Amino acid sequence: MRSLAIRTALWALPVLALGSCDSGTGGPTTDGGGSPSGAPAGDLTPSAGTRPLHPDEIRGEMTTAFKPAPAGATPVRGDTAVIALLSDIDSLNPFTSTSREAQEVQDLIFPRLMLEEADYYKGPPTFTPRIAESWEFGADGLSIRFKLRECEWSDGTPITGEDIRFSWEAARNPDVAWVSASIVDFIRDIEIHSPRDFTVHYTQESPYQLMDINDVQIVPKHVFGKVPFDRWQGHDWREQSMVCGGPFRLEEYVPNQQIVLGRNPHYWEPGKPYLEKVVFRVVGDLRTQISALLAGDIDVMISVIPKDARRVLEAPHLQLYSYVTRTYGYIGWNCGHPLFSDRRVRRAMTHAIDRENIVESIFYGFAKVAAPQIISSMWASNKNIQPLPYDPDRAVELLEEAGWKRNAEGLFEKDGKPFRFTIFTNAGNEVRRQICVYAQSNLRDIGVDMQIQVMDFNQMSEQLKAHKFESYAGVWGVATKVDNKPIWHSSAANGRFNFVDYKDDRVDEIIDTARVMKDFEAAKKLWDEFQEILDRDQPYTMVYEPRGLVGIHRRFQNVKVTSLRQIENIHEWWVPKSEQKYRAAESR
Amino acid sequence: MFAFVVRRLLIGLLIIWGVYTLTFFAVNLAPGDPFANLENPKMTKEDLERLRAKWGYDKPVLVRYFIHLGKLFWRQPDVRVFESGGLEIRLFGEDGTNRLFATVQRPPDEIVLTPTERSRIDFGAREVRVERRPDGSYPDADIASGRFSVLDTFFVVGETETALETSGVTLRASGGRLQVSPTLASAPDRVTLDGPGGETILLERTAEGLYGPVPVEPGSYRAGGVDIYVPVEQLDTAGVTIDLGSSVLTKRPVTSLLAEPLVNSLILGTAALLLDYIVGVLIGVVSATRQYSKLDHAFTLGALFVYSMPSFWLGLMLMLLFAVKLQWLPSEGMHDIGETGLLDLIEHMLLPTFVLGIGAAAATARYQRSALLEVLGQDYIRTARAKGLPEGAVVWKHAMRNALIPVITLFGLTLPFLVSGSVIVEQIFSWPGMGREVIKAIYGRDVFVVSGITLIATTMVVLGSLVADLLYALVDPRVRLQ
Repeated sequence: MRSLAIRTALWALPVLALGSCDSGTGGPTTDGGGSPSGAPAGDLTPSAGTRPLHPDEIRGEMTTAFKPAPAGATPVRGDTAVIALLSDIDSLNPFTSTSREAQEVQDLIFPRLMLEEADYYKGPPTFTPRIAESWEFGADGLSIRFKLRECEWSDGTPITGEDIRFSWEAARNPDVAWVSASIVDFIRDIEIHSPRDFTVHYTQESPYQLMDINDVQIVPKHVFGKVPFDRWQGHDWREQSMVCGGPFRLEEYVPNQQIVLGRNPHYWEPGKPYLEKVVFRVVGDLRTQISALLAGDIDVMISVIPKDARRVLEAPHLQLYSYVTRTYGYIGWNCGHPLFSDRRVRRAMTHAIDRENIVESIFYGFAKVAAPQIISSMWASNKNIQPLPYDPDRAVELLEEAGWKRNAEGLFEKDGKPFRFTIFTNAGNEVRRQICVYAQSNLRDIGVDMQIQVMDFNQMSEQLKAHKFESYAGVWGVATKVDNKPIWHSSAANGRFNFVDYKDDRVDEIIDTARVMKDFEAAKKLWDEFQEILDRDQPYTMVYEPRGLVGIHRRFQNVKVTSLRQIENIHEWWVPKSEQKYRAAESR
Repeated sequence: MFAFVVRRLLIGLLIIWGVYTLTFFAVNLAPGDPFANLENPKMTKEDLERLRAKWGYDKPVLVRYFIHLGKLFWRQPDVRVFESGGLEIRLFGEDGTNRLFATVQRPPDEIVLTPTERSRIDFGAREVRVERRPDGSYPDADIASGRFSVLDTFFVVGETETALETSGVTLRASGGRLQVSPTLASAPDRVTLDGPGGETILLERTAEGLYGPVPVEPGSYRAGGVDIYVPVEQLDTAGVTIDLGSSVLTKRPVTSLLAEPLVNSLILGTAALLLDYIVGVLIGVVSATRQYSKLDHAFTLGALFVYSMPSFWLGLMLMLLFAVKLQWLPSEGMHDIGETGLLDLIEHMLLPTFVLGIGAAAATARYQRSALLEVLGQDYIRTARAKGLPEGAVVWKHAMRNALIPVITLFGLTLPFLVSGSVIVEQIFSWPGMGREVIKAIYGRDVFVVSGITLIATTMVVLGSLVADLLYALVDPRVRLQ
């Protein structure tokens, strides 16, 4: 789900809240990315040398961890799932909210046309029908005709093309100021033929046309339309959001405390959902969340940190689900700075930093060393690129080649100036601070003096944008769409996210061509070359690709956790009668 | 006494305004704003700028300060504007009902179509400018495909024909050509609206060239292709108000945002304050009256121990013991799911109250002990004892009056914490109070929330120190308030 990523500060920059995400994810070793042929799980056994698999870990070898219901069992209704949220949601309206927490809730109460599958390891994501029953591309590639299935909002009003058109109008309306409005840039119009038959017209052909329309979450026109667009930003959407179209509907929202969702009796999938209620509890501290999970006060913790994984595995009532995330952590070297303008120096840095050790010590094995610029679980990843080996001797050689000499104290010097620089990391993120500490000691071993400066996030991002730094520790979340322009194109050095000021003509050329190519085989070849160039130049020292860890109570059956949505199929979860915990809720 | 209170309150107002202003600028001048951490590669810059502008962040900080100060006391009228077929329709409230009127839009002299970032980058769209000719018509222009921002809205240009009606002009694009024409050739005599019951409403043109205003019933109206929803309640008119602004992060008015956390913090704070002063004063008195006894040493040691223990550690240990191991008490929140009762609340309060109160009680006990010891050494206490008063009366009636003064000062200064909440304890026990709001707001640079909290906290400090001064007079007749 691209929009999920887009709206998630978490995925973005070295964001403050990342304390949770980035420590909450981790993972050794599936060889992540899937084989070039796109074969799923089978051939992706954990590589040698990592910890043995615990029987209570449901390990997703790719992007999905799945615990099927026991064979022959039939789902029964009842019970409640209690899910911890790290912070309160900012708005119930998908077009005015920006938080990841809000997205979790909105995904359960507002429908989408299709479901984006977490199969981006074998190619661009595919889509399966949700409220759209079928769709067909027009001959010119500029339109898609959708047929809706018969389904209703929770107040009994039918869901029609008008609702989709209205949602699109909201998405593009400048007064609504949806932060992801550019997603619908190429949708020219939505033409309604009959209530359940409509065509989406595009101005351009692009590889992601289905994704563009699917990222528009559908809200009920007959309710949301009563609030004029220019008031959407400041509006309290609690009353309007009582009318829902997802598997659950909003029952109660106590800000800062909890959001209670109940079964939507009008939901279109027969018999589903099985759970009577889903309760989101705001538990703002990861230590408290883990205590509450162990005590049974909450049932689902979406970001278990690797350090706590053992506690979850040892609790008899819990199960740990782990999946390969779409994030990577790195150290960026300012290529525009005299210290790091030489590729040999940057390669030396990578050789000098023991990334294997970082992954083992900080992530307890729940991460793998990153290497290709496009993460290894993505179809476009170059599987031939291996991490540069940890090799301090080679690092020393490279620095000497670049004209650095060791002085009497063993520190590198050039023209009388010692090799000394500062790395930035943002306050509040323990994982990244630790990575800096490990790197610092590695570099000191070869005679390079790195100082660590922990900064306020906002201050840091201003410095990065202005290229006023030497190096920094960062994390990127990756969209399921392969783009790279905002990070690696030379134009992105000007106020966008090419903080390291990296400029290469061939890279620019590849990005401009490959990002809009509809032929994925051809695009893959270009992306492979792109990754080889970046591997050669090492503007980033790629450090880790983490696993995501989710702790869920054992009583829930048929649970699927994916890297796109951690509670992907909660409408299909169920609990055997004898194990149901919240009976009172059921009788209501 | 009365003059004293009034004078103190006036000074208090000045202090509140000063602190409020300082906070506003401190938050605004710190690097970043509420939108900075939304930025990421998957979002275009202009989408973010639009969101910034929507919340007024496109203006300089000084301007924002005065706008905000104005809004604090003056409510803007709620006027809703709709556009349809070259007309501008306004909905507003007056005399207990909502009214509509329409005006003809004047076509703009210059039209600039700016491509969005994505259209520019992905498809090389360029800016297009069209100027109005003296005769009122516009020349044609070349235009590429893409999405353009124009006249505060968007115009999408594709390979097939597209059209847009806005601000009194109609834009039409097809085959790479852009045609612009005024939507209305001349002002019509009347405007038609479809009412909620299917009836037609006619607005005749008045001498001033306006249509209306006419009162409208609640419900959905349609003008051309535009929906106009008239709410049941009357739209706001201008007037005097107190409005702390809206939170950018949660999109809710600050007053309603803070109401619940304020009460929650008060509940927890009051309980902790009671624990603090009851336990603290009692231990202080016992230690002082039995100075250097085993009990005194035990209390001193205990107080030191509790006082030096960081509250997050104590909190986590207690949680581990009582919630995870023994499972006697809940680990987080104010209520269990589906519960709202008092007993449930008390169960949830026990741990946070203890953690919050006990450290403070240790400090209070030390203050009380030394204050009482000092008083007990004074001549008038010896006199009281010499007169044969029972020890209880000496301590509680005579000594305590004086020994309470430092503790009361402390008490007055503690009052603001009732509302500002405890960041650490609230965070650990997931208590939905002010402390958590403060942290969230400061990190998120949510200026109105921070200012609002400061306003409340400053008011409490001013009132708290006033209360402390009044209490002095109560316990010590020698103190005169002037």
